[in-house]
Amino acid sequence: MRAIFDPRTQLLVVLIASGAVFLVDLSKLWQIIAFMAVYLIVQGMHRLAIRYLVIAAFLIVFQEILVRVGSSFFSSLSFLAYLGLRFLPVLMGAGSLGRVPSGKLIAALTALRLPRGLLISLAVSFRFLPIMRLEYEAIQTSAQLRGVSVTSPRNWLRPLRTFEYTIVPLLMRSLKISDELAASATTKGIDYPGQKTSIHTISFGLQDIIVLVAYTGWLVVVFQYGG
Amino acid sequence: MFKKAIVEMNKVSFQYNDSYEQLKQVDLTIYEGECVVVTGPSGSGKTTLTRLLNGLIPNFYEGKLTGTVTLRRKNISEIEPWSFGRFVGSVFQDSRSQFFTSIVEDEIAFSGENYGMAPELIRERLGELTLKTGIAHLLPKDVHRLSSGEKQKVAVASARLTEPEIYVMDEPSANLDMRATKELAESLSSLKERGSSIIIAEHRLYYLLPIADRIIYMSQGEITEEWTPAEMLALTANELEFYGLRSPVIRGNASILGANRKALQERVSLERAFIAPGKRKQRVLEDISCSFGKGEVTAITGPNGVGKTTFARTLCGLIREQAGTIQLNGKPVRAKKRLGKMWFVMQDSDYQLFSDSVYNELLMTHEKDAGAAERAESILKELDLWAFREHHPASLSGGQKQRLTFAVGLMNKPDMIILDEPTSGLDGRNMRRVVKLIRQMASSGVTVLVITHDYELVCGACDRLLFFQEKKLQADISVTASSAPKVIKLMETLQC
Repeated sequence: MRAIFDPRTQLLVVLIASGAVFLVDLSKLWQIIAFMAVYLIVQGMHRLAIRYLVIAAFLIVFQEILVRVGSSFFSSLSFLAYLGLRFLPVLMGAGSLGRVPSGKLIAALTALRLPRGLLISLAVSFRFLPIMRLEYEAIQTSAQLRGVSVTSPRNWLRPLRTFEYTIVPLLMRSLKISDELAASATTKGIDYPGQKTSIHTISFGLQDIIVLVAYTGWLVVVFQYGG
Repeated sequence: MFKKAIVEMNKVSFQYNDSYEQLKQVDLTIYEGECVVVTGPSGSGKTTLTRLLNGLIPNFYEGKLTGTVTLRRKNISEIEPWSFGRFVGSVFQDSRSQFFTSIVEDEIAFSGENYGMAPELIRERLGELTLKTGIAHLLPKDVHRLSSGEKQKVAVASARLTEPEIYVMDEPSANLDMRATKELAESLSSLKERGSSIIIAEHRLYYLLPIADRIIYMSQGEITEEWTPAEMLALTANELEFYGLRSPVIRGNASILGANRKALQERVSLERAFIAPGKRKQRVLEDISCSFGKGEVTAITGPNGVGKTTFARTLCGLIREQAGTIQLNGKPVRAKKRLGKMWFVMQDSDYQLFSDSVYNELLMTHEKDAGAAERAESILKELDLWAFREHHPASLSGGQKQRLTFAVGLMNKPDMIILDEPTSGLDGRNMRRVVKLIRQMASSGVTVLVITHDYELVCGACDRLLFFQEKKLQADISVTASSAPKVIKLMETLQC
């Protein structure tokens, strides 16, 4: 069995996480990551949780090594690892939000009484992410054929050119797709000024209360006693 | 019989702000319950015409509009921009960019939700529609994971939700195989039976002829001809070629004969190859053995998701074969080494062009080769692109972009060129041009493999047809005048 949370709860979890990661001590950060992993697992996203845990473990070990070595050359790398680690809980929260069907997400955002313009742009950007991934894969395939792919090491010596060969076609495609997407949504009345409805009922349930109470409680423990 | 006009265009001209395409003095009346097909070469203004009907012009695409357009006896300038979707249902060509939501159910419900229909009513309509169109099992699925045929069914269902009186479709069959096209034709005829008016811009005519009341031919922004289906059928092959149209009926082209296979020198061969999209992924094709000769043109067809593209990607060396060997010129060659000896032209050329000019596109990665400049020049001249050598690839037309990706491939002197659906969405003239180009490449010794659902391409350019189904190579037929009916039947039913 897996828990299904109200998208508003998921949004709140992301917001709390983004606050907490900047307030908490670096040595206690793993405790927040652990909570987020459990949060993903109860939603049935085991693979996503494991992937993030592996990244976290790698970053923590990397960070430790760099601190021990203490060379100035590595300090910039260390900063990157530090940033990655801090952002990880937020990404994990966003990961679960990204799995929400866009119809349900729009319904939840509407229930939050967000301004219409903001709502549509948010919905479009969430909708755009999976498309961008597909587009990126297609571009890399043809880059591989041409021998200019990021995956082949000899192109790492010419990072600028390699970057250009990824970003130019990606921009071209994005412009075209966003235009067509907007045109299609226009023919389906997205601009209708009246009240919108939704086939999804958005309701705040017991599972939402449990997760929010647990999260708050956990954070209190982490800040007060942990480490 | 008294007919009521639902669409009236009177001396309509339109010029986009940022594109050359335009409409010139168009007069057109469409009556209630009519099915009107709009055809003509690419860039002739078909899409522009459809956009006037679903409100995208002048509300979304800006430009200079003169003349009057009335929908249901109301001038479009008096119709609120957002309300078009209530009585005009739109279906577009590219399903990747026409779906706004991620799940089939949400997509079909989308317009209802936007117009504030009661959720119970939307659910009721959803149930009815999906039952009627046979897509109830797709409801919880991710729209990206559907086959092209399924996507187009969802698009039609989505357009039907608000029960519009007018349907406007822009090349809905462009990405469909012949079986899915037939199903599209069935859903169109059921719409027509319900009394809806349908306006459909399309290059493929054969599936529309039984439904169409009239066929309108556009050229350079003007309506120049109008035919009834019977008049269209009476057009001679020469006339069809003159108008740049595809054939209005399915018929084999007897002009081509399969090459004598024994006489061909073997170029690429597979021996007991097992093919999967990834190292640990499930196999899509098993135990495939076949060979391709020098200068031979082979078509590959089969149902959606059977692994045609995976097969092509494996040949190119983008994916490693799980088992078996792939030989080039008689020697086994590993995947990594095959990259660069084969060229893959994707369906969408936008992905394959990286440079800032046509000429630089060809010289890219050949900077150090001696004689590259001369070769680029001769290839560009051969493909009619020399005049555009200073242009940015993005500024070219669809056909020119496609030829440029051919040219890029020819620069590498490949052993084999693989084309993925090179004629989908092409008008008759450009389709014939691709056919000619493929024959040209083949006669210069390049082995060509074409993944296609287009029977006109198979009958026009291919020596041989391979048919994949259920993980196996089910048929290997040489395409001749006598085997043409069998080839077409195979492509229509996708069953052996």
